[in-house]
Amino acid sequence: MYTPRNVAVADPIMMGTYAKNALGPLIKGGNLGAPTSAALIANRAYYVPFYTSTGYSLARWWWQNGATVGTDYIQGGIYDENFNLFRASPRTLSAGTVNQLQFSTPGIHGTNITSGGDVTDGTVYTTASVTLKAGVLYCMSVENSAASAAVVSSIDSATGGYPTFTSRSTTQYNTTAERVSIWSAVPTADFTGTLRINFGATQTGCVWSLNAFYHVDTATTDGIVQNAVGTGTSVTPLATLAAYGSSNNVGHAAFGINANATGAPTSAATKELSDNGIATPVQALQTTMAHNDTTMDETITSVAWGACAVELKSLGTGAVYVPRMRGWLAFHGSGTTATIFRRGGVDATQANVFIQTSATGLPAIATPVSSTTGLGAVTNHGFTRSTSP
Amino acid sequence: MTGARYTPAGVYQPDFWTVGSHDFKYHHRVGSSNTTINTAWVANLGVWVPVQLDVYCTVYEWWWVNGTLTTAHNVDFGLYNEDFTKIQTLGATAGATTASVLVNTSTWANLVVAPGNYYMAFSDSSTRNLICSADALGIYASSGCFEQSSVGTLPATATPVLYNRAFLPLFGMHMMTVVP
Repeated sequence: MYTPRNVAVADPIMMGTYAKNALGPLIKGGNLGAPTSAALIANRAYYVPFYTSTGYSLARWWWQNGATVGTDYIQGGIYDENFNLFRASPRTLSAGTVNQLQFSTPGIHGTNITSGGDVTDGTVYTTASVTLKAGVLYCMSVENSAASAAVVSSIDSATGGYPTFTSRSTTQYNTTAERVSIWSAVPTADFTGTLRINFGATQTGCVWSLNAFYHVDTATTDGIVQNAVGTGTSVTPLATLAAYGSSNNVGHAAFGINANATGAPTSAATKELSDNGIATPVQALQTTMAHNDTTMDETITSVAWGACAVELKSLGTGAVYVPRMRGWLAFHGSGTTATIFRRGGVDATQANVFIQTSATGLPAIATPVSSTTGLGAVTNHGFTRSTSP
Repeated sequence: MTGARYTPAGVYQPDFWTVGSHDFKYHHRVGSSNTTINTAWVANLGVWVPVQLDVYCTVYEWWWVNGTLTTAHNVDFGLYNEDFTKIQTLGATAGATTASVLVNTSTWANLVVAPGNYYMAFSDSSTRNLICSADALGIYASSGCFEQSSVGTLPATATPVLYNRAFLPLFGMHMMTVVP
């Protein structure tokens, strides 16, 4: 005698793009074949539709490496159906056995929200409109100039409901003519609007960068564990943090330089989140993040510099909760050396896969386009409640 | 989050009378090769294939498909919890040796199983040919399959590793639905 379903059965142990919760039925129904090893497109994010039918305990992210591993960084993520980032894996170096699965435990993910600059003399500098999500850590890095560059007095908005920003690290450099700072905020409610960077005295120019950090334990001081500053005139701006409270924690740095020039991370393990400057007066700001790295530095052409760094407290590597939802399984690869199992071409096009170019990994709010033949891919990746093997 | 508006499927989702290792509805197979490939087995290799059952059912026998040749062998089948603890196994049992036929077990004790996620397990003591699929290494791992060596008799608690083969045997269980 048939008995109808009367309990919620958990979704597959390997939740992925080829499961029935995603594109499996379409690909199987079309007899399109299995994924195969192929190179990625650098800094390409892919978004594959999926759903969870019940709550899911995400213990690890996974993807299937192809015939070549190494060099490039991989990231998986989950977006809601409106393309707001819900969870993302830490940026992880492709490694392990070729043609086999690689796993990544939950960790901190950082991404740039907006950056800009203004050459106008003033006491208020205004960012582009941004959308900030409740519970996410936002760090505003500011680089400003004046005869004696002032501290930021506050960060607010003409729009009500803005989150409270708190100063976490600051230093003058170039004698007293420039300053670099990091402020933090964790909104208690979603906010959309421009942000104002306010000073108590007129400044001659300002550059800013707002970055978001996910999977941060923000219970105390917004998740900021410690800070360090440094100044100098070498080719290596540096702020040296003390030993981290946990190897899962992340360093976030802001480098102000007395030139309208770019900087570069000193290693591939460091991710540059933003890099922008202005011409009058010349000044620039770079922001980066790196896992468990006390030496927060970058490389520039020799010029006066100031550096601020903060340690961000991770929520750890334990499982995270994914609610019943419909959304997008996201994947990002940084380069073209590492390969991954995927199906591309027309398969991705008909499968409603979206794509986006993003140099800094998975964005906080995706603005993808529908994939066209040859550009999209259904990467074989996902997440699992299995903690091992 | 907008995703919370998702509406779950209706309750009428009857299970069928058989669940196989390459079944897409219950196993979420990623590979695509034909399940007709004659493959030499690895002696005493055990495989664990995840399955989802939507309703109460009674597992009353298992099946596998011999490949060519008539080599003698023992087979074992079992159902495991998601933590790899055994629910029930057949125990090492002499398997039919006829070449290229589907074979059913005859000594499995009926097992009532609640809806949930499980692993179907299979092992064979020999290197005889079995009918398998042949997808790329890693494809089966991404479907959630695991393996363990030296388990001609399936263990009480498995300690498997990621599935590391480019083949997967064609096997499964027959069942009937019952009132819980």
